[in-house]
Amino acid sequence: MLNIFFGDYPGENYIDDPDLYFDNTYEDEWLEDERAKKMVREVDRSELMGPNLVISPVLGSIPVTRLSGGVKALIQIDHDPEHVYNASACGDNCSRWLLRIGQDKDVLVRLGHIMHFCDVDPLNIRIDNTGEVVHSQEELLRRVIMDGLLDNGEKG
Amino acid sequence: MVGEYKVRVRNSRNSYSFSLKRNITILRGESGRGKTTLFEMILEHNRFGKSSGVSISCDRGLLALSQERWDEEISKNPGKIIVIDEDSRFIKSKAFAETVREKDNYFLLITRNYLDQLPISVEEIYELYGAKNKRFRRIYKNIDRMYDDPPRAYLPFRPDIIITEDSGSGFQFFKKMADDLGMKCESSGGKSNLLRVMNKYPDKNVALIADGAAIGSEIADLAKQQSLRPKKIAIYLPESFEWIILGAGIVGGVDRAKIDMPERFADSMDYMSWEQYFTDILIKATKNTVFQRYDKAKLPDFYLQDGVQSRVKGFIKGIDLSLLKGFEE
Repeated sequence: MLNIFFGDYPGENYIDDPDLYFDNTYEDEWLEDERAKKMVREVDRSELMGPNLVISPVLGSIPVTRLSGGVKALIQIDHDPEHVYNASACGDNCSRWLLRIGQDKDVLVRLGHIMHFCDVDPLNIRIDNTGEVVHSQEELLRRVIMDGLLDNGEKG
Repeated sequence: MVGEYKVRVRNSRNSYSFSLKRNITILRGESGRGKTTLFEMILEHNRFGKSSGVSISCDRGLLALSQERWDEEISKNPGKIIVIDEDSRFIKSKAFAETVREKDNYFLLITRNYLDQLPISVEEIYELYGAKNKRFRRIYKNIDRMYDDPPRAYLPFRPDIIITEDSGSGFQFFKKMADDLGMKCESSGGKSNLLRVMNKYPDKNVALIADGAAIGSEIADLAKQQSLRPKKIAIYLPESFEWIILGAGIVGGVDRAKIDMPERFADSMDYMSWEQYFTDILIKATKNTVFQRYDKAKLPDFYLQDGVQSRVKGFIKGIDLSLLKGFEE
């Protein structure tokens, strides 16, 4: 299931900048995975050819370090269970992939904003701060607001 | 810094065109659309100039700011447009908000963060569109300041309840109007509480009134809530309450250009947001007229008169503030 912690995650295994962390820690095998290729195709509209090459229709041949911050975060969330990643590095076009990863395994991510999951119904997301499971975008929005999960500290 | 600046950044593979006209502009949107590439192109131009292969066209210099010594770099570069990428954690800090204040700079912030410590205008939040030739597209669309892209058929929107962000003059003004119309009017006591107050009335038609000049940190969640409750929520975001008073022509002797083209006059060194700018204009315009003298905390009775209220109703086109037929006072 997809578990989301809203606000400032206190754990030492938290990665605030998945973009930078990816560049220095990615494993080749992550980039040979079919799901990673589909994520890159859908989110970045590019072809992940392997660990050393991405073909972008705009940028041409680029290294994997030039993938978007959002898709880098997704790949790490999918492959690195040791860390809690800042999913606020992901645009709303990554939300479907977060849910898909969460269908296959338990993952915990952090959000500093309320991501738009509207296209998927029903949702199945556990709010890690409270343990509550929500099943729709409205329920998610209401719980985060009414419980003030983004009220303390700096949002984002 | 005042004025509107057209910017073009390009290399052989990418071209970005956009305009900036306030001290703070936000670029966000979906992953993989080229936000970071824009930052990197400006950074390369800063480092290597023309030999980078990146060309920049703008009447002001652009500076891509990295993590190191960001506050010193800002202070050393007055008159420039400062571009900051989303990796820069410092933009969420209070220190950054203090640094931005009274600076002779415009800031383009590439971020998905809410940044509630900064007064971000709903009008200056953009996303990128286009493949090779990219442009900025405003994320939140409006009809007569009714957001976010409300279907014209819903307007004017007839509310059961008006919720104002303001708890001072603006609230007093709309409370009087609502009382006269038999509507409820409630203040949220600040922008961060708007959603919570709105969610107290899930079955009512709710009109939210807040300062568009500074609502940027909240607008994403407000727009999401609106999309989940179609036809039940209307969001009216004037620049500020003072902008309504000035725009409706309630106070004489104000140069209309100062209201219609604030980018020419609202100096970033004097005003953190256009809300402050319009407040300053209204205070100065009324300071010598005892019965009109504007006070943000306590609204003079002059503004509660029927004639004034009627002109403001005419100015706010998206909300139906007419007296219902058969309404008994």
